[in-house]
Amino acid sequence: MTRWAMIADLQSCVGCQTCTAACRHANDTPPGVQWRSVLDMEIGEYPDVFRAFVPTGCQHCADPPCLDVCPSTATRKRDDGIVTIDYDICIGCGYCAVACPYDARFKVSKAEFAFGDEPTESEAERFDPRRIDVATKCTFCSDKIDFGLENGLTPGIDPDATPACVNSCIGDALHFGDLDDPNSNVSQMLEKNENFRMHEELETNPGFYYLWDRVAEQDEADETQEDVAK
Amino acid sequence: MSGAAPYRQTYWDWRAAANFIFGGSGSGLLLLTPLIAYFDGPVRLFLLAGIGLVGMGLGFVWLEIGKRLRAMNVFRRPNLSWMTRESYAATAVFVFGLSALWRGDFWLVLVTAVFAALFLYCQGYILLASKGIPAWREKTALPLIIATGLVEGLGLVLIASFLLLGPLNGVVLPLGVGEFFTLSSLPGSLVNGLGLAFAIGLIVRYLVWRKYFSNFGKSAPEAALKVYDEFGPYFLIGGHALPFVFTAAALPAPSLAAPGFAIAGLFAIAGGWALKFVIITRASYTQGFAIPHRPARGPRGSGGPGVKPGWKKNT
Repeated sequence: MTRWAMIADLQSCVGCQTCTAACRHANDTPPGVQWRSVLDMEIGEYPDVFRAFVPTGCQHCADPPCLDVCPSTATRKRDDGIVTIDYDICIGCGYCAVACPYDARFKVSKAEFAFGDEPTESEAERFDPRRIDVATKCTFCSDKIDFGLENGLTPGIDPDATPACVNSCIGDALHFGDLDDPNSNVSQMLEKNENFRMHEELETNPGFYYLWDRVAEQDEADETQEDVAK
Repeated sequence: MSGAAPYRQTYWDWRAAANFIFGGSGSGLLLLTPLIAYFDGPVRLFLLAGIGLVGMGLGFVWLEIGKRLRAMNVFRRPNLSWMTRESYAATAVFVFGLSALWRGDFWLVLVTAVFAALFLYCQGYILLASKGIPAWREKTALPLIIATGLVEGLGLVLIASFLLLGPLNGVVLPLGVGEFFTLSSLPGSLVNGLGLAFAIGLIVRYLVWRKYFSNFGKSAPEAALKVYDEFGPYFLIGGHALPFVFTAAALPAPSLAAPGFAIAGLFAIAGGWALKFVIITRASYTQGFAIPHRPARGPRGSGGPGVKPGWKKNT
């Protein structure tokens, strides 16, 4: 089996919001709708204050509360773990938006464009009226993943098969891959780094991991390697 | 810390609250209809009012959804969604309720009451399943929704019992199979019994509210707690103390019973409606974002404790 997952390395994220811009460009989301966003979080109290940049968005949970509540079956989960929305079925009740603890769902009631009432050429080309008055969210760029798999590419490795936000990350903080493959990039990273998933207590089983430190054994191994090299 | 702290959701507004308000009162009222039918009361009036309230609530929800012409898609996920189950329960309430209104058979009244109970139960679970809103997913929201629905239903019957002594008495409703239905007053013994049940219901609702508030307060967004802190005293005085005093005064005095119960009912219903409005539209702060660990920075940096902005300390 395959379970697509994303990793955000909080040690590397610099909060540049390039992923946010790349997502908006790739998915043509209207103003105020950010399927990928990066939070600027302040930790501690003066004078011991730290800053962390935390990418967020749909966590493509294994037990998605948005799916459980959706009365229309518009929200579904693919076999590879990606949670999807069928815009042609969704009734726009907003129940999924209040069920999601990651603030990942959006609903707009009218067409809005980046620069005034008229769409730019690019927006006009890609505008999808089906997205008005229904729920929308990050798709993990599933169209790219599907395209990649059909053409023998590896999602998370080959850019043409990888979500736009991951491709655009300048700090190498965002990664994508198959969680069920122990040799995949994401499985290897999770093994070598301390990690957590957000709001684990809510038992949503997210497919989005955050790295926050290297595991102690890995540090020791690297130090030994460095000493040997010296 | 913009964007990380809980904020008040905007997806469900007063229209969604209206479904809980009218649907809760209507189903609470329908739950009592078998009792009224058993005592030969004007059950058709109560059926009509109950069905009307439930329908009005659902009408407001219909106004809230984005794709109104696709509303029938709400029936597609009965295996998982409490909203779908609520819509099935509502459909059964309408089918059996209207049949009971037409035929007047006791068993139809009884079945309508059973589906009204299911409807109310579904409403409670709709809130519990909303994992993104801490004030809704608190487990005691379910008994709170049920308790206030029952108290509101009792309050409506008590108001109606007063009106049936005066302006509604003798009114003819064109209901039934080729017959007209003349409204008559409720038996005094039934009204007194319902008054006593109402007083007990007020106590139970307040205790459930306190339990809900106490449980929620253990781990909650600060802004939502502030909303409840401000609402609590009004709910205690207006929604419970005043109606309880009126009921207690009316119970031993037959001449005061009907107006006393009616005033008490009005206060209790207003309290219940205010509670649901506050839960849905005011205390509905989102989960927000949290990181349990501060990330390490640099090759020799180390992590530390994380942060959960906007939440009560020690949660």
